[in-house]
Amino acid sequence: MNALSRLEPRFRILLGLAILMAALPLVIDNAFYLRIAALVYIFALATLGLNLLMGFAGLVSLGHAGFVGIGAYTMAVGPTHLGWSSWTALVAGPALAGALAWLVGRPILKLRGHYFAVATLGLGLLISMVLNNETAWTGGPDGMTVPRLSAFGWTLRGATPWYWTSAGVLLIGAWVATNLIGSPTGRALRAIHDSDTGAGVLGVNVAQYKLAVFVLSAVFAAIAGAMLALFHGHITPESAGFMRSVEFATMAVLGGLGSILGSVVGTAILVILPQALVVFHEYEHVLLGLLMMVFMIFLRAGIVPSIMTRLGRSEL
Amino acid sequence: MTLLNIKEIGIDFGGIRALDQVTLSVEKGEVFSIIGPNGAGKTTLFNVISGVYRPHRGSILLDGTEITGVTPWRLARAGLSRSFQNLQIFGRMSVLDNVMVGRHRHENRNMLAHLFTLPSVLAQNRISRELAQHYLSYVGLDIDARRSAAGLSYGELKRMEIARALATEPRILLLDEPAAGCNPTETDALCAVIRKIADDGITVVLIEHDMKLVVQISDRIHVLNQGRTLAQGKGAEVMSRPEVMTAYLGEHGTREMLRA
Amino acid sequence: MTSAIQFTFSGLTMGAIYALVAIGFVLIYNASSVVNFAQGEFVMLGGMLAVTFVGLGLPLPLACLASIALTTLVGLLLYLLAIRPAGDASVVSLIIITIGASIFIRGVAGVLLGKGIHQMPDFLTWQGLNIAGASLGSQSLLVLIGTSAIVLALWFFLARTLLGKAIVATASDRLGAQLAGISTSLVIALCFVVSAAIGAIGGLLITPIGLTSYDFGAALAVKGFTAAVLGGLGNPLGAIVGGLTLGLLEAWSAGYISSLYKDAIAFIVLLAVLVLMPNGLMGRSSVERV
Repeated sequence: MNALSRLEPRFRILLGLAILMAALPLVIDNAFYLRIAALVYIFALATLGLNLLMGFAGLVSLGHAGFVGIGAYTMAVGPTHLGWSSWTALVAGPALAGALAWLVGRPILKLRGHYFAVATLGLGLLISMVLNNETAWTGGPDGMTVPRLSAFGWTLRGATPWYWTSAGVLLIGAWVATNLIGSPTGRALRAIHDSDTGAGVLGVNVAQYKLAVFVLSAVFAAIAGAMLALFHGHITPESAGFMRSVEFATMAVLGGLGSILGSVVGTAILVILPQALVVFHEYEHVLLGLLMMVFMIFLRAGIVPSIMTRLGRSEL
Repeated sequence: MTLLNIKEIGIDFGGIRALDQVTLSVEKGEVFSIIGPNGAGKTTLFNVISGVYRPHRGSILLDGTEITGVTPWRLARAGLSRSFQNLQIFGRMSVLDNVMVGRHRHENRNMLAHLFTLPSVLAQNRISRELAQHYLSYVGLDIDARRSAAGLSYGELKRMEIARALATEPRILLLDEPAAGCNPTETDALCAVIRKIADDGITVVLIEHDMKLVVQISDRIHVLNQGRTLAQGKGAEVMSRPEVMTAYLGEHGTREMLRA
Repeated sequence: MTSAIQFTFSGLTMGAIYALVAIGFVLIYNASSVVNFAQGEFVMLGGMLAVTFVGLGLPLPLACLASIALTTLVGLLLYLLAIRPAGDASVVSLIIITIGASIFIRGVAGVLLGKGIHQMPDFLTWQGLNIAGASLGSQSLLVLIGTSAIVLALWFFLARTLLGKAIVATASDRLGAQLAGISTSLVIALCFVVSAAIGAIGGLLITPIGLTSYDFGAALAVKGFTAAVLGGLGNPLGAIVGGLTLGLLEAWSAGYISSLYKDAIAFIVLLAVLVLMPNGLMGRSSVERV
């Protein structure tokens, strides 16, 4: 008990998450549900990256799915057109996304509020358009097949292996994010969110930190995209589309900006709900839009922070 | 020895000359006050000095080095820090975290280490935390620092900002109306704190409206009016000059004052 | 030469619609600091509802009026049910709310009015003009004339009527206007109503030319926002200049470069303007008070 209480609250949550992940397969033995869980973990990694950007640095991105798409399509284009091994592509995708974020980030991060949001919107739409139109490279609207990941004769496929892989990767991502938050960089980011100017006069190089977190979020997104591509064995431009970007933003906001656990919860809701309401496919947009509006009006802080406040605790 | 040298600073907003030909110098270790009626350009001057605004004319030298238009974060790392009239606190962070951000300049900023919480990061956090507590006590803010900053009173927040600026270990500290929102007891406590800061070798430049505090604490006083220098001098003598009184009270008010 | 003129005509026509969307953005943004991402949906609704009503047997003029009225109501409800309850929410929240609203409206339109492409014949049977070999259809003329009429009416409204001046006052200084007895809530509601009406008119004017479908509004919102930013967000005249400029750029690049990436022009322009000229062609830079 002593060791547990010495851990800071946010690390305790991480431990809780790990335990939950380990225990879940014992409860849901079904391959179908395990696949859904894996999908939640994969998307949650992207949401987590976005949360670092939105929840900590306070920058709204409406083009996050573009980076997911880059990570995903590298897993297809690399092996198919460039003769790469899937492992090379796995590294190249996030590297590419990070490089793009670094390049584009420097000018657009000077923008504030709505302007930055719309700039990211434009960026995401451009990426999505290229993926849609460059049929020779990307297979156009129908997408491309993605070769599976294999090593030493073993191929990564199947519900259970994917469950553990995605859970593991998410846990590492969450651990990295948790570390970041409690570090001087984390404090600098949170300070920037509340007051650019206040942070600046204390010696915080605001532009550099915004760029760093933008690149980090892009890398998280690309890793998630790569896993998504490998998981499905197939990828379409929709995965990089505007609606997907909006969904990520909603997942982050719904679960609670600034909350790591919230990223997972928000993602879970938005992934599981359409599955549960498969009957209501017609009304998908109606429900999504309604969900977004209602939550932002009535439960502004998001699910996890609202619950935490009720319990009198803070995740940080 | 002159630490801060401001030469003929001018800045325009739209068609208005917010500052024009402002020249002054601050000696190392002194407490230098800038006063003037509302709209005189005092905070604008601070914003220009601390790099928030870029002046259109003139130059600023810190310890002989040109710092005109240098970004705020670079100035902070060169030893210049400030507090704000309208508060720029980090409302969603705790009081302790707010002051800890002030340590940023001295912390190990290796982001890679931060991503993996190496032992060095834990040690760094502990040091920053202890120092932050130290600065909070220094300004007399003995409250539970884990509270959210948003819950503090205006006067407490002003002191928190001072603690935060002190945490950067500045050579020169700009305080923008630190006594605003303070009752007489708090103002006296603040006076003692500023005295302590100056005694510890930090140069202080102050914007204030509380004349009693200004006269008590300042080594020299510089008066601004409508963006221009009106007068400069020592102590109460400056305040009783007719042109200074006119700026504050108007001609009629000044006549009344002189008659009283 | 002919094709250049042709591109110019189509560019001006679409540009006029972009200008209307942009004006709608600017009106609402000026008074409330809210970027209404649902702006494009007003245009979509204008067209979709008009087609539906015509399909139900209503004569064209009545169908148009009904569509404008209904869309205006949607705009009002958007403000009352989604924006006002949010109070002074953060930028993040407001963005999510208006995007959510646009998705919601789109979804409802898709369910109620169908997800297919809707079309209407030109309003007039007249062929239009032929200038130097390039044709300027009657519907295009209607769009250009209609847009000009709206702009003039709006100018008159803002400059000469009491309500209009209340809007200008609120946009200039909200607190000051409140102290003068102007209800901010009423002003913003009015802005939403006017923006929705303007959007709806644009929508029904463009439908004979450009077809419409339930998801027509999304790209339009982005382009309209681009036009507004190009002109300097906050400046109604800039919105018009921005809209026409964007329309022309799009048409010429579609004609001379590639029509596949026609939509991309808007986004590239957007990014370029945001990075190089954040204040747009006609805006003025503002200083943040600290």
